[in-house]
Amino acid sequence: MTLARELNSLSLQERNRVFESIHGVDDVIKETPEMLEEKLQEFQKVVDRIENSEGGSLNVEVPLASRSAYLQAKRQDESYVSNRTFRLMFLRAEGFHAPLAVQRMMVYLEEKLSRFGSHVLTKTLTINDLSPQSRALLVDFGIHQILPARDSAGRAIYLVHVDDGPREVVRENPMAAVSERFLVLFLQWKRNAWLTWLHRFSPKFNIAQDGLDILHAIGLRRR
Amino acid sequence: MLSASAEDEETQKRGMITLQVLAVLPRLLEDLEVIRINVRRSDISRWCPVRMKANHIWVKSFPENPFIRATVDILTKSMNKGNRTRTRIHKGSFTELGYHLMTFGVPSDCLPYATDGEELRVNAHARWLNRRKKKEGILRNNTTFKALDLPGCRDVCLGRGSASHQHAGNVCMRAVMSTLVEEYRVASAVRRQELNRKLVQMVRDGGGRFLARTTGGWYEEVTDEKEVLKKVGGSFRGMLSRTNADSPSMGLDTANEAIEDRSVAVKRPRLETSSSSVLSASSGNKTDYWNFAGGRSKTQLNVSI
Repeated sequence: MTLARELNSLSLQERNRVFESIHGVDDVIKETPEMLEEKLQEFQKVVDRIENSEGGSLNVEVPLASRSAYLQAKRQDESYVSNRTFRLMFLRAEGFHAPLAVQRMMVYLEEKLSRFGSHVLTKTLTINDLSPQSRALLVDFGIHQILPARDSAGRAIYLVHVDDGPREVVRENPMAAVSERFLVLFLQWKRNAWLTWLHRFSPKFNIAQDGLDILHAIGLRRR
Repeated sequence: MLSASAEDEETQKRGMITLQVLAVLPRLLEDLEVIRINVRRSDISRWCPVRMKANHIWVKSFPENPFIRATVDILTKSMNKGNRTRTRIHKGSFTELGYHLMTFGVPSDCLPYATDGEELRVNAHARWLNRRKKKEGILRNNTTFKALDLPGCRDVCLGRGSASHQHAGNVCMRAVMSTLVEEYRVASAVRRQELNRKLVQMVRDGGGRFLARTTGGWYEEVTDEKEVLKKVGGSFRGMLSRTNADSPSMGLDTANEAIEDRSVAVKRPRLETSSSSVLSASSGNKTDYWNFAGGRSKTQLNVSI
């Protein structure tokens, strides 16, 4: 329903663009050396304005943390953040819209700083930079994969597989695990009362079938 | 992994699509974990150096389970509007998923699952990781690395097997080739060389490259022009023999006339070159892959001539 409502709220052109993008029939921007040079210069101008705290007039919101991450990276290795290939990556990701590309680059640097630390901020990420947990998930289980073929439009395919295999669940935040455990205990408490309440709430609720599903769901009954 | 794939220029230009597979046992604890992982993942579109063009979610297990439905609901609502409208949710078996994805241009045979969709395969992933480790080792010493992990959709892959044969660039090249094959059939040797060069130029003008697989598993552009022309010529001949075999109108007389016409123009090997002879000729050369004549065409061709 939400999706249908949102699609209806789009203009005809926007909706076409979304459908073309999903089906891989959208246009790829043709790049010429002149165009690339022009966009890179525009990118530099936007960076300069954001560095001088004049980003408000560009209609882009760059969080303070992102800006400081960028400045830190610039202090560490200016050639990394001003590298042509590095900047083109973000320009292409935003369809050569320079202000949005600058915003994306700064948020990317912030994410990189928060996830991997300052020692890799201005380096290309390698497998060795991953945490042991992430490395186990990535290397041993293949939960995240780049598939060995592209789709018909030439786009790479990134797969995330989440299953119930017998693996240790990686929890980065111990408090989240504790709160989830409390929630499960709360649901387990007076479980029959919950089922009756659900039946009263929804007359179509079938205790024999749906109830069993819920028992499976909260881990009270194994299949 | 996203940063690694963002290094590829073709991926930067064309973007990336994601496929999330929810195959969890409907236990609340697991579901919450899934939500947490995926909400975190959905933020990627904000900062990832590659544009996310579409997002597919396959609810593999228990699609009607209330907790799974809630999970999917939370997952989609946590996305921003731009991402949400580009998201499609698929339910059903692996076969159904394959058919659904094909309507979006995603080849189902590249999905890393066994035929029943139950077992996640990691062979291709392991190969990717090996290549990545080697690449990181090379990049530590050098600053440039020109080999490709994934060929682009206009590139032509020189290689055996269905992966190369069904690659989009190869399919396009064969489509163009089929328009020239009749001219090729009656052309002299000199004219055939011209047609080979014309086809190579057409592929390059369209932004394609001729790539060969290296021992490390990457793709590298074939720079030797003679080798490219040789492969294209082989491909032409393969298509020619296949069309001869498939065409019911091409009877004994027509085929012989064609051979006689060409033998007048210039002396060269006869048309009935079978796939086995091409294979034996190419056995000494590892990159001589341009042979589209299968066993079927071989036998039929021999019968017809």
